[in-house]
Amino acid sequence: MKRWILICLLPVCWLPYLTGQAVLWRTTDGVIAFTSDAPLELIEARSPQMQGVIKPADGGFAFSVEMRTFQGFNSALQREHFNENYMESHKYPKATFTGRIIEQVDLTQDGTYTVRAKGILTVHGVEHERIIKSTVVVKGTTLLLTSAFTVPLAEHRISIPHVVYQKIAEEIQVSVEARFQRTTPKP
Amino acid sequence: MRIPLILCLLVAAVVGSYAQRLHFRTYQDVGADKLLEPSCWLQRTDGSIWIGDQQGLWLFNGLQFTPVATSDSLTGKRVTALYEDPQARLWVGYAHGGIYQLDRQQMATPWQPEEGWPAAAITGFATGAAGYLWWATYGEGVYCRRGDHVYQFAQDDGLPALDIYAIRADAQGRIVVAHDSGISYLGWNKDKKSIINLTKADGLPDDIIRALLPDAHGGCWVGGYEGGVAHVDGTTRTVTPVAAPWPGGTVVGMASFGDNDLWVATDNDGIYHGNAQKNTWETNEVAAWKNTNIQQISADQEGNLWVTCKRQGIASANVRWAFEPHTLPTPQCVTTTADGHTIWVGTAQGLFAKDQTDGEFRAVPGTESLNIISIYRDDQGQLWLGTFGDGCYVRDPQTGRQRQLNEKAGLGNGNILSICGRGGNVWLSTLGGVYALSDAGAVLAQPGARFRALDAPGLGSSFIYCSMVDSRGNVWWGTDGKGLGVMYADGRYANFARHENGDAVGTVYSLAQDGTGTIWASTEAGEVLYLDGELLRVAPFSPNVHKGQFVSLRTDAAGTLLMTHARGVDCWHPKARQMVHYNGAVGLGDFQPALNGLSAAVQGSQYLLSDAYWVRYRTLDGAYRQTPRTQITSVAVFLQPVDFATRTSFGHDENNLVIGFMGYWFTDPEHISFQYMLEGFDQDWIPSDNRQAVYSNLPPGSYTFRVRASANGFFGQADEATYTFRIAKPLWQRVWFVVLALALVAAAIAAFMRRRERRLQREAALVREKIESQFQALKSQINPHFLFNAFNTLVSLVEEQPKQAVAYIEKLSDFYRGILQYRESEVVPLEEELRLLRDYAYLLEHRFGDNFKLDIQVSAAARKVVPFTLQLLVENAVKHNVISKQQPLTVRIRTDADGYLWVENPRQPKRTQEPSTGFGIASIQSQYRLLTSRPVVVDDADGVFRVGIPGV
Repeated sequence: MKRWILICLLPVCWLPYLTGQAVLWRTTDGVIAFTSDAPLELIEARSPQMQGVIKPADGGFAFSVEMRTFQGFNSALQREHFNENYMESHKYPKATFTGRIIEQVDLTQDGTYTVRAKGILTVHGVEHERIIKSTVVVKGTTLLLTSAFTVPLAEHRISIPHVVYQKIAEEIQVSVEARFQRTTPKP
Repeated sequence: MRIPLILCLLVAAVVGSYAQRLHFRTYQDVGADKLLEPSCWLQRTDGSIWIGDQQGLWLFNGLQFTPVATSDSLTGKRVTALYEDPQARLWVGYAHGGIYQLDRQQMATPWQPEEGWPAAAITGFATGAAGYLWWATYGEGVYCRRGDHVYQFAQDDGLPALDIYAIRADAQGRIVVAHDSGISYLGWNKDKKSIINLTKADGLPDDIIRALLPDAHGGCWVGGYEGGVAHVDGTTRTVTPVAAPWPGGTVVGMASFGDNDLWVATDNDGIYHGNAQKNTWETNEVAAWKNTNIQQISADQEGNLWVTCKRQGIASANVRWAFEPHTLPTPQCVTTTADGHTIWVGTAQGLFAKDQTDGEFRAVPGTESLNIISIYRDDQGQLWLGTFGDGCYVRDPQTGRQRQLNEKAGLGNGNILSICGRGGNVWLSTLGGVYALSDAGAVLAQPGARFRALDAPGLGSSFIYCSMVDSRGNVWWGTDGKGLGVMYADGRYANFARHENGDAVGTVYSLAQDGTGTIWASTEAGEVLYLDGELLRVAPFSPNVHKGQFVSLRTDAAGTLLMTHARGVDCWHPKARQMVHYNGAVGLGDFQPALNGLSAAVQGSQYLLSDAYWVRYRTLDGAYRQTPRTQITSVAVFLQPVDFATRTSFGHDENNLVIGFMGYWFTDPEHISFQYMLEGFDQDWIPSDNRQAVYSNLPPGSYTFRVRASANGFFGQADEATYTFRIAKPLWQRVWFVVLALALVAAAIAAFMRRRERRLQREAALVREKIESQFQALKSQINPHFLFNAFNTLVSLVEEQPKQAVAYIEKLSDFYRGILQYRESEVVPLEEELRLLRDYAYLLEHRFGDNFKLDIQVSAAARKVVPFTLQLLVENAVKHNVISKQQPLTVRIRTDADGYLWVENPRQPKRTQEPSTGFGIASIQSQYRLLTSRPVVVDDADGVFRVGIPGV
């Protein structure tokens, strides 16, 4: 997990020397929420502690969220089951998405962009390549990112006991809303 | 080292063939002063052609363009890719990256996966062996829809370039894409992306590959930006260059009509046609297509080549036919060398020859004075030239040696109309019978050869117009007036001169044997006949021939019967039993082919000479459509369109149908005609040209609408489109309704009968009750006790009060008269009953003195009662109660608000009860039950006995 940060940050350290004006967008309080809309039960939870970096220079990005920071659920027991039985948060404490943006857009300029991020989504320790469509609004020193996508549980080897399968959806709807701040690493 | 070696061996032979050109027709005007600027072309499996251009999507039927709307009213967007997937769904890709699907209502609707559309132009679609849909983009690589997700194949996955020019699935279902760094085979290895790249280093003609065309065997043709065309084996991935050095420019597209046949389009350097195996390339279509910015080149289902170019719209040509003008003086017959490299044309002014490398026909020296009307090349390559009047010339084209054969060689007639041969034998058909020559190969070397006149039945010395050796070695002749003559391979002769209707066949002008072995003949009358046993029968099709035209017959390399005449060429496909008519639409305008003006098939090609141009006819390998595709396009009920794919049942009042249909025949779209029939309504096929059938007031029933199309008037085995539907019976004609209605009527009748029965029974009961009551009343009135009492009373009165005795007798008499008067009546007015009762009371009062009293307090008098009701009740009271000085009895009669008439008396029961018949009250109750629904009430409470009589 530390590797991607290194990979992302290393070029960032060099870039100012190369371009002179490398910019990074960062967030540490992005909101990520998920909804499981099963026939018998609606489960919702959110975490306001999603971290993320976007590097406009090459479209690279990295997002990460601690599984234990998810709040909500319909009961404390349900949250415990989420962490212990399904996500196995002790083994796989984080969910991450790293990759690059397909579109050639300059995210240092103000504007509204629809972009598709192609990367590896790691949930429950299982990596899966995904393309996730997002809307990005850049205004001054802030960047607002909104996105919605689905995570099929089977893709990440999250098995649901048969007893509760009517209570947990096979596809989890995930939405992200994050406010990034512009940072310019010092040379 | 191997590749340069191959390159050396494969120096392309850009010599091609004769310089005939295809006859292209272009379509560019889409109406409303707009010109098509097409970028892509697609023929769907249903035969329809779709065009993508700057404006959007068009449906083309050969005559006009129909714009296709998008559900989100996306307009003015450039369509860059069209594709029909294995489920026959149409996919449309746009320059802005949008992906649309055509829905059932023929409207393009956006297809939006969660991952979104590319932001780059869609350059193509394909479906791989696993059934996944792939699409290529210009700038974002390739996408694949697998399961629930869309995946991208891009540089970080190992795809060397992101600008994809073409994507295709080969015959094995492998996905291959062309880009700026060669080609890549894309796929999935379990869940991992698999990319295999081939570059120029692997033998590709160039780094930039622009065009792909899968072959039928799992390989793929690739066309480079430079360097031309190569073939890639999909399994071994070995690359074989097929045209090097490439004579043309940037390859943008390829089309094929059979193995190794390639039409290669370059963007601005024209179109090349070649045989990839022989590596020979024709350049006939190069000059005309220079600088036309070709986008795509494609083959359709009929054998037409379609060229899509931005500047000229779309153009199509039937590749079977190619043309070149000539300046020959009256060409009369034609033949070629066995390899097709040289063509000879016999004219009124001698023999002309042309090699594939020549520019023009050149006169063959030594033949200038000959009027050559027939020509034959024998197995040794010698030419036999039949002249008009000068006998026959034999010529060795290699050496130029030539010898005339005339009467000195035993030829009785010098007018040689036809020459045929087999092995060493040659037969000349003349205006004076048939002459045979054996050992014909040696005729130039040994001058002593002599002709032998055939004395066969039907031949004799008559005019013989044509001759032919069939596949079994039988020699056939067409005679003047005596039909067909044949000399079988075993030497027997036969003559077939009878038409199936018994008429004489007459003169036969031309003969041919089709691929199934059937012998065909054309007659002076322009009829085409075939031999069936001993009889000549008229062809099942009617050729597009005017009466009296010459029809010249030949068979092509596939066994198809070719009939050339002034209106074009008819092709009869004997196995499929279908006929195709080629005319001006393919370039065969008004031309006058000579009777011997069509050569035999050599290497799949035949040559046809007309006055102004000479034509090459090519037999296409493979299955091509020979009849128009027919489609039902709309069904409307009372002019309201319905979804006929799902709706097949209509109400009885939805019986006004308009069925629209369409035929696709791009070879000759102007001449499509239709026949339709509504099975269950029409008795026979109805001809139509206006693409719709109207049926009004259809009676209920099941129908099948059948429609078929033809471009030549022959509908034999035409493709049929059908639509089966049902018009329901109206409610009143449906079985369940009729049964229900009958049941209801039956139930009503039954109910009526039962009521009538009940009424009759009740009437009978009433009559019986009445009789009984009368009987009881009479019985009670003449009750001896009553009379005894009356007489006792009378005895005392007679002595003491004679006047009262008289009154008493009068009352008694009145009483009995009342009984007599009312016993027949059902009901009497209440006052009558009361009068009777008063008479009775008078008698009782005299009997009991003051101990009996009748107290009548009746208000409304307008009611009726059953006669003797009150009298019976009063009599009951007297009968069952003690009447004495100590216990006087007062019987009270009163009415109440409910209309009841009450007879009340205090209960003073006798110690010894008089025997009761039990008839009295029960009889009253039953009589009243028959008259009114209100019951007779008997109440015995508080020491008072009362009976309530309902008013009637």
